[in-house]
Amino acid sequence: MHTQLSRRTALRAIIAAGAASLLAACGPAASQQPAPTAAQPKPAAGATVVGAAQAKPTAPAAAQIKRGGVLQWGQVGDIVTTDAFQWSPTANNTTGAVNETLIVYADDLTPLPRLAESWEQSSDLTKIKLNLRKGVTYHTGREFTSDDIEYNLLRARDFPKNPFASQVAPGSAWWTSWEKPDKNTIVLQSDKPRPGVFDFLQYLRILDKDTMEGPDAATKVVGTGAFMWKEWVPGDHISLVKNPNYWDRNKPYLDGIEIKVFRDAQAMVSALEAGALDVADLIPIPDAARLKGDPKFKTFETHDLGQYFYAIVNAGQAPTDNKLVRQAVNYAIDRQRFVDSVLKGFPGEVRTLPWAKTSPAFEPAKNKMYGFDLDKAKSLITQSGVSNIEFDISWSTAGYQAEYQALASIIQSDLAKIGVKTNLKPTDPPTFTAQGNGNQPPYNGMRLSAGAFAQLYEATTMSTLSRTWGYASNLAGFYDDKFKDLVAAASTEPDAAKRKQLYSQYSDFLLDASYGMVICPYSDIDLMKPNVEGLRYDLATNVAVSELWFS
Amino acid sequence: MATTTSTPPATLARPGVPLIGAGHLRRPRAPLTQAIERTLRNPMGLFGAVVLGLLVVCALGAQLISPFDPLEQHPGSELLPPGSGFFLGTDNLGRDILSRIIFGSRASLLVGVVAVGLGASIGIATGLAAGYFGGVVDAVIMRIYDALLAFPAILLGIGVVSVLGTGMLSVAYALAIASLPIFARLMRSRVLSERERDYVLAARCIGAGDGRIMGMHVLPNAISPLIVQISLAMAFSVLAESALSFLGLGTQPPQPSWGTMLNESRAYLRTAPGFGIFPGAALALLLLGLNFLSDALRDALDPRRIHA
Repeated sequence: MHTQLSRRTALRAIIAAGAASLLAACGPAASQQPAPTAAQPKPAAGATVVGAAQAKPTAPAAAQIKRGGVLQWGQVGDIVTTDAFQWSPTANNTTGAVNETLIVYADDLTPLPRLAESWEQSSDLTKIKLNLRKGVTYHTGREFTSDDIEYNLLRARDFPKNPFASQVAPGSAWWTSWEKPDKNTIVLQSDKPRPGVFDFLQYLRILDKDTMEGPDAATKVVGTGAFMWKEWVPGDHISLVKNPNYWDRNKPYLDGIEIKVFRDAQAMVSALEAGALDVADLIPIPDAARLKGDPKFKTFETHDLGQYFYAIVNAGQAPTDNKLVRQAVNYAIDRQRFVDSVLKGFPGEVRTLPWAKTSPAFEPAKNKMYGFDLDKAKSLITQSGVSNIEFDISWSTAGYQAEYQALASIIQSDLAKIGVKTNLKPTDPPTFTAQGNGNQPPYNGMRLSAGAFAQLYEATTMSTLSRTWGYASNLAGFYDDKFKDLVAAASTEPDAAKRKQLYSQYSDFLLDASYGMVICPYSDIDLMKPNVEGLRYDLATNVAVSELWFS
Repeated sequence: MATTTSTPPATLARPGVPLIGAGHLRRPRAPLTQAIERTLRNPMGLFGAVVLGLLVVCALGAQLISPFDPLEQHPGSELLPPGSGFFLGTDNLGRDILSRIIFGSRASLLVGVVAVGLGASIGIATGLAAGYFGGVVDAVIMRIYDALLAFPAILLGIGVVSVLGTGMLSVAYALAIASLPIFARLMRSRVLSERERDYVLAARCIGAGDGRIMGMHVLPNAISPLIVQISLAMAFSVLAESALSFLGLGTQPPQPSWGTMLNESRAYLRTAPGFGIFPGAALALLLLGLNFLSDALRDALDPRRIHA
């Protein structure tokens, strides 16, 4: 039967729908679980499960663990390469599950064996002998030997040719020579003490030479890990299947992992709530706050994996080339408000230095410097003699865009109170990257971003790996001989106690220079069904996929 | 010589028909005025006009009528529901949503007026020339517009904004470019039929030039459907501005626009629905009003309905 919809009927329907929406809008905000506060006890480091259905802190007995099942894992964004040298949240969950490292850190920074079964380090820290695990095979069946370590060392230091090796290139260049006494041993020799050797080893994923030099390098991933690469449909999903010949015969517990790629975090959370996923990785903070008390889900929050939000200013350009102006800006950042209102208290605390609690450079007292103090900021501006201060605050419109925009708005509002004008500049990712290139980057004013590597054993490794604090090239265009000497001294000092003193000087220098302004640490938050067990991130921000199981 | 005066019978007085006679001679009302009257007599047209008027009042008087500075943050008052000191609640930074909606109307109005103003004036002028002269002029102009039509409007907008840079005016220029072919094609099609009419021939016979014929004779007779298109293009521009702002290409933070407000509210739709629903409702209301207005204008300008 053909029926006609009159304008009047249509209008009534529209008005009714609008009224329903407005009624919803007028309702109170959904109750949110109280956010964790700084006073709430938290584990000192590493990852822990929090929320309504908390996992037991003790490891389950092997008999309790159920084997089998395919885990549906959701993540926002696809991998950009199959080269496992790349280190990113999307790569760590995917290529990182296939390609293993030589060691992993325990939560207290103790190196634990992985592909290296044991090691002997010389007392002057210039030499390390790695005893490789015997009987390990790649997923192709080829035996893993010391030749593979040599191949990966050489590949890592060939950085321009292998652009994803930026994280391991500096560490691979430390070694002036190496010997391979047998197929299961390699001895690395440096001309200087290398206290950061384990930082390097925990990041160096061991790739398969045959694959990386073969015709399928762009589509295939072969490693020694607990899971094997089955399929990658770009923009849609990645399938991993259990490695039946894994060297740890007890693992993995799952038969496979199906990684679904989402473009939007809200869509991913909705998929989990609808039952289409078992785990949603890196969910938005408002959703984490909303679902934290929901018994239908477990939330998982990492703590202190060396990730932090920060602002960096261009020290090579006016007006932020003036140290007093930079210090004034540092005092004018209301970190606590950002943590409480935007991050809903998840980070637990504010920081003015990047160091995680695990880091030997962590000093709680130093994080109290640069408390929010607009009077002091105004006084420093007056002392600087710089007037009519105006600069840009830019951030990338990729990940954490909402958080950066909120932070920028808070900073802008507070700086306006002391007469500093700022212009907010959300910037597309390629432009944002380009504006940070070079030893004297061209951007004006301040950039907001997220940093990493603040959890490592050798604190100054951050100055080698990170463009934020790099002594040779950095995003601030800030160069100082004293800074360079401090990094060089700390990174080659074999005595741990002396290194700790140097870290303290290093921290004081960073606070005084104020070219990088740390805001707070941040957590990776996952949402999962209550029957997912064993989720854990290691200190290198890898998910320990071989330990996942369904209860 | 005796003179007589006569009064026309009252029965001759009919609405819309001028009375002829001493003391009753009136100029006939312009067709456009009649069309506006007919539009406002239509309830849908009146609703659209009121909504549009409201937008103009909000945009021009935002400073006077908004209860708070739209950029002022109220720490500790984030994501408040309607009431509690803030009529429509607050956003994630404690800014008053009502004030931001009121100030956000400026972006919609500015983009709508600039985009439609530019698009319509250039599109109508070139469409008029193409239709009137025909031949090479027609072919060149219309092929350029055909090329523009090959791009979806939003994609074209994104392309133009990426060249001109982000911001409200860039969006307005982008949308003006996107609307050019529609105005031009519509005008051309009307001119193709109008130029064959006797009044054009008559004007030419008395020595009127092309410019005069186009501007004084053809344009007024061909403009009716364009008026409807202007109101439709306005609705499209408002929606496209919101879409481009939602994508981060239009109004830049911290300045409010309904699109940016919708984007900022995405993560809070379940915890603070008002943050997204109110700017969305403002946008929906305006679009509904503009569409009703264009519907009523179409009815008012449709000769079949007028004489029915």
